[in-house]
Amino acid sequence: MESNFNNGDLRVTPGMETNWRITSKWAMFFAVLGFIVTGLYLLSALAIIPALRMMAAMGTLPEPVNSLIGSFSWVIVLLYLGALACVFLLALYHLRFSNSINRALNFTDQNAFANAWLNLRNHFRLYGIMTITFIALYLIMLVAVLIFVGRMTDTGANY
Amino acid sequence: MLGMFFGGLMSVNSGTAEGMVVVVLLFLYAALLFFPAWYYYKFSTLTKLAINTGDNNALEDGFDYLKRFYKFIGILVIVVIALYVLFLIFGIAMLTNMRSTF
Repeated sequence: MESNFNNGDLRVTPGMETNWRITSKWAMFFAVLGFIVTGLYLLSALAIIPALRMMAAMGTLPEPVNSLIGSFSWVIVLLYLGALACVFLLALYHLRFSNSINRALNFTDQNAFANAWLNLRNHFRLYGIMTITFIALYLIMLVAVLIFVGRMTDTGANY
Repeated sequence: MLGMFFGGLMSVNSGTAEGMVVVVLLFLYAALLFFPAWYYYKFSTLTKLAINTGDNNALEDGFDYLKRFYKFIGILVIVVIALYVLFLIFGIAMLTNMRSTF
């Protein structure tokens, strides 16, 4: 990155301050919401994971899914907990951004100011990585489904 | 989104009142998707411009768009939660109603 930016040219204006305060309030709202969602998902995980194992043991699910869940249930649990950790971290970054920007504005604390934007950057970075991962997963699933359908029609043509 | 678009077009061709409702909902949905993306885009470009050229007005506008983004999504989330609660109450009311008629 080129850094021809001049410190003297950029100043904090009253308009920016009010914008940051309003942004920090909404960020706090999202942080609290994120923590609530994390808690709810953790609670539902306590119910879903034993239910999945029980269903796999009873053999109520259709066959490829059944044996997959039976042998890879720990993978599903890990994926679930990973997604949960991401949601928690997103909320934590929002909380830190909100607290730091308020401290920076109230006490003209330069460190808090830098910390606030670091946390917002981390939030956007994690969100971006999650979005890319989900798009990649969609594509993989699309390819897998297309291959599956292609095989089905292949075998169907033999009848 | 594309599916909704073609579905909407098809229901318009059928010439019913439901078709217009689908199209209106479609435009509402498109607006809900467009505005956050537009605010994010403006925040990104204006802040980058401010850092590269030292333009303070661009910086102020950039943060204004960041604020607008958060406000938009925040209000949207509150509305969605309110709708959930409303549907929950509606569903419970319907269930109890059904039970009392039997």
